[in-house]
Amino acid sequence: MKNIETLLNKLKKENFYKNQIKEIIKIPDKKPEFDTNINFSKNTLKYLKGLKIENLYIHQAEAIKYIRDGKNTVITTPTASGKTLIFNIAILEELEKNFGVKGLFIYPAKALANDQLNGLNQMKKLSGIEFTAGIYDGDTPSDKKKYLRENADIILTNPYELHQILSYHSKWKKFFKNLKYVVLDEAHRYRGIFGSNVAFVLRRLKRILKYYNSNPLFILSTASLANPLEFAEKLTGEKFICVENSGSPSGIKYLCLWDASQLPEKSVHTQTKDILLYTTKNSFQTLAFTTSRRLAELIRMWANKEEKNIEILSYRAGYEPSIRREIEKKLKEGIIKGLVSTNALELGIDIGQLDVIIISGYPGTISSFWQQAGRAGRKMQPSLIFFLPYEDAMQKYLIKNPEILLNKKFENAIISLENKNILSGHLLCSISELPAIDKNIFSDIDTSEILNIVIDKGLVKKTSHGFIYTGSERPQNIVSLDNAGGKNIKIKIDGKLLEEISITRAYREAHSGSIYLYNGETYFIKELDLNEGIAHAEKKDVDYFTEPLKNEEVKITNIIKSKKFKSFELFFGNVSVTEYYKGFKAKKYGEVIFYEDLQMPPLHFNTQSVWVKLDDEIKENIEKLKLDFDGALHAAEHALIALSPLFAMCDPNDLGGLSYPVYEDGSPFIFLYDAYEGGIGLSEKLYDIFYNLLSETIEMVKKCECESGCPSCVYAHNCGNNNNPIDKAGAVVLMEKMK
Amino acid sequence: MDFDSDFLKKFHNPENKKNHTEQNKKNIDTDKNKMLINEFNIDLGEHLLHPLPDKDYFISCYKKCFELIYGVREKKAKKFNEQNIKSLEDLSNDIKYSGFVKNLFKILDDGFHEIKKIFGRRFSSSHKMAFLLLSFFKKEDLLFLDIETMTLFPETQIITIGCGFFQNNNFKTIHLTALNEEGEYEILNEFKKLLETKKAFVTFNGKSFDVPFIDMRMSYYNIENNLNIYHNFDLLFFTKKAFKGLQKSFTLKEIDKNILKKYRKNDISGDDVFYYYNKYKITKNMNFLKPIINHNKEDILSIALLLHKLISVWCKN
Ligand SMILES: [Zn+2]
Ligand SMILES: [Zn+2]
Repeated sequence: MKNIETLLNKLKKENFYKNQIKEIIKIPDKKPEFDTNINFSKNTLKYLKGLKIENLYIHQAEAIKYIRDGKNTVITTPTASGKTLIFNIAILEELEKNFGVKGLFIYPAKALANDQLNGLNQMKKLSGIEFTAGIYDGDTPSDKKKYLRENADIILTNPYELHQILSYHSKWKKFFKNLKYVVLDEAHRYRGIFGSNVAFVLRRLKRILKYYNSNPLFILSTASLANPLEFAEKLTGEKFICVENSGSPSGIKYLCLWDASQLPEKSVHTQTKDILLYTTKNSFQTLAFTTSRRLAELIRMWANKEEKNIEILSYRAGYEPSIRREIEKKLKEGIIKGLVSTNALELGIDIGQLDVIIISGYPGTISSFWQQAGRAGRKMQPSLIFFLPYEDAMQKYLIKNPEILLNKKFENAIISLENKNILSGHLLCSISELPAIDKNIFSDIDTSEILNIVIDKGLVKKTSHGFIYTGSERPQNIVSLDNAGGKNIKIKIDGKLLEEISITRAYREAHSGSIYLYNGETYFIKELDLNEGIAHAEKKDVDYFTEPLKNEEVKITNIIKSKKFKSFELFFGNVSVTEYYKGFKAKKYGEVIFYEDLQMPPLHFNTQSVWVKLDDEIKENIEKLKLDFDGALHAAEHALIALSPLFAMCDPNDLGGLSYPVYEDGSPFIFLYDAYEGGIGLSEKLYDIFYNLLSETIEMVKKCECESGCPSCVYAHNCGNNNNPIDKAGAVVLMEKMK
Repeated sequence: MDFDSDFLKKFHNPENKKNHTEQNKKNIDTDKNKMLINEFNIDLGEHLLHPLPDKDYFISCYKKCFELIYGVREKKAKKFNEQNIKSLEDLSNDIKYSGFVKNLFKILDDGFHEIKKIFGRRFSSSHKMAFLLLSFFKKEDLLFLDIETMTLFPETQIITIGCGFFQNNNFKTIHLTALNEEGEYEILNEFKKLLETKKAFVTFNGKSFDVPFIDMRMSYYNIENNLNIYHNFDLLFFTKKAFKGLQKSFTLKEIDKNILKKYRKNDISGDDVFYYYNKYKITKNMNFLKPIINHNKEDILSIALLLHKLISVWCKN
């Protein structure tokens, strides 16, 4: 019997160990909880028996009961807790009762749909209930598509395909008329800009379903969230009931928090390799997650060089199912001892469970963290998770405050239904799919104002057959689910399109000279041509990354709401932002290797913001203590921004921030804003939870062991003022006075 | 929020950007006419006299078509010919094939729909036999169809539906043009009426473009249709087969030049249709519609002449 505690104790004697272990948290095991009261038909029982399942876990039974009662259900239990079985039983019971009912299963990623199709076909075999299921996406040949539209009982697709096919609804008449269930798996992926677009695709779908008198039930699965109900309701426009108490078992888990900075002469990546070799040498099968494909390859290469006798592979996005099966088989047989991967492996893809998981670099959200960690622990066996944060305020804070990681209901998944670019684009799509009788196109959103605008622009015309689309481009080709409208930049390699991104993102990530990350691969941007709207890229394996430096200006255009606190007032509203990009830094393992100037016109956009207006006395109080007020304010702004993604799931780049010691009306201000034209709802959520954000931020800065500020607390990578002035102690006093 | 409506410009074709809104508003509400109907009687000369293939010819070809037998392809069919097996009847006592042959004769007796079904299973849509299905129709049953649209995508509107047909030994075309946004609904309904006396379409690429486009637009307005029951003789497939190697690009214009030796006078290109329509919408000057209608007429004429050409190539017994 392999013992994890022994493994950890022995590790401390290795020569790469220099007190990096900050803490080891033992997460107790959990016994399974079954529901023995739920009844099933003979065929369903046959299916369960075939899967060797005797009883359902309590959360599975609870969800199935809600679904039987006709309630929209969102399930937020952990990875590998058997959520798929819920969808499958739900549709199976329907198919058994009513011939001809249909199910639409929507997945955010292709690989997921493939795996689920296998599961459905297995269900057909085991249950003896006949039905047809198939994947309908961009790769499906057109005769197969026709066959599926006319014959399939269950269609598996993705939001991109749905966006394209809705206008062909007359061909889907039979399917839509009989649609009973819409399943959205991994729904937490539908957040931010993508999620806001998907929310409208679903409303367009619902509008068409209503036309065919169809009113299906929605079943969602998501990672654990702080706001599952709010999120599900915003995503679909339906009322939901939530299933969150998991009955699935888990073995003891050890979470080992590793502070790589204790050994400054070795990078966090080299230390990842050290741990990987150590655990695999001790016969613990290990999977290491890194943040880019390049790093995955490097770590594998270093490990292979050092230890020729241990088989360690790397894994990346886009592997064929046959290769995955092969890897899975070799893992099961113990041939592969270690695997290094990007988060391509994260999304529900089944490669079995491992003994040790190394999370090298925070994957961006707590839910992704646990999705990666969820790969550990086979059959109730104890397992071990290493977490090695990079040098970054939020990442370092997590190993000092692991209760945040352990409180899986910390994050909010955010969707905006108010971004007018997104709204107007989907409104045009929807009207091109069906004429509109009412000015409110989507039942739960007021669209009359935007409808008037598009009428004014000649894109929609009121006729005796309703409002009809009169534009001269196919709107579904203009609206991209990955963008918030506005100006886009095409990233091209030798003229071939890699990705289309918003201009705001291009300024940050695809400026000339930058290293652009896509699917774990690194691309060098040779030139960003703003006139042509093209960023010319080439594939280049590099081991550095780039960060732009910028200054900002913010102007308040409209206050939507405000609330008064002890010594400040908090506002939510609209602002116009101007960002000035001065240059960028290239960094390798945390160190700046070069700096380059940038010549770019300033970037303007209108967006949403949450801002703090401080009472004037605060300044005097701070200065009385011989602290630098401007530096304190600046440091507080950096720290608040750094922790925001913990509350509102997003990329650090999705938010901008700015502080003014003296704003237009003479008072000190701190702005946090959505870094996209129109906003994506982040600021509004931060407005709601601002007090919690403030409390955590104070803790973060206070707990940092540095003397006068560092990248782990109040320094920002992209500060256009080079983190100057910064007063860490002042920031703590300032924020404590705010509380 | 200040809405940066720049984004909305993307939904207009670049041609359409200038002065669109103001001009539009002034005129549109004063429109009384929603639809323009143009009719032309066309002298097809000698081509009119050319009959459609007759039933006997079809039956004789059917009986010689071994490829209708399951499992028989071109190579095998040649072998039969070499063995002096000349028709399906010669196989009616063959142990291996008699069942198939019996069934094929039954299908022939069952008529058009069964024959069409087996052709669909056995042949590509460019097969000569599929063309010979014409023998089931009278000239008067055929509707030559071609449409002009805003874009290639059926989420946008139809500008003109053009139809051609034989009537009392004349060839006639009718062009239904939407004069405003209300007009598309009207032309679709008018087209539906025209369809009532017809039984089959003759198109050029109409299987993938014109007919599904009309179908989508009718569905959009909830206009019931039975377009799918009309047989569609899509000449694109037959032309590619019949004139294989003759030319690379199979557009109607190229076919005019190289196959039909028909020269279009003052014709605009299909890409210009949107430009002229937009000019019309801005100015409400009907003269801008003339090039569109003329273009549409030329296309229908070409389809009619192409049908004649294919008959002369494929039906000389
Ligand atoms: Zn620090
Ligand atoms: Zn700064």
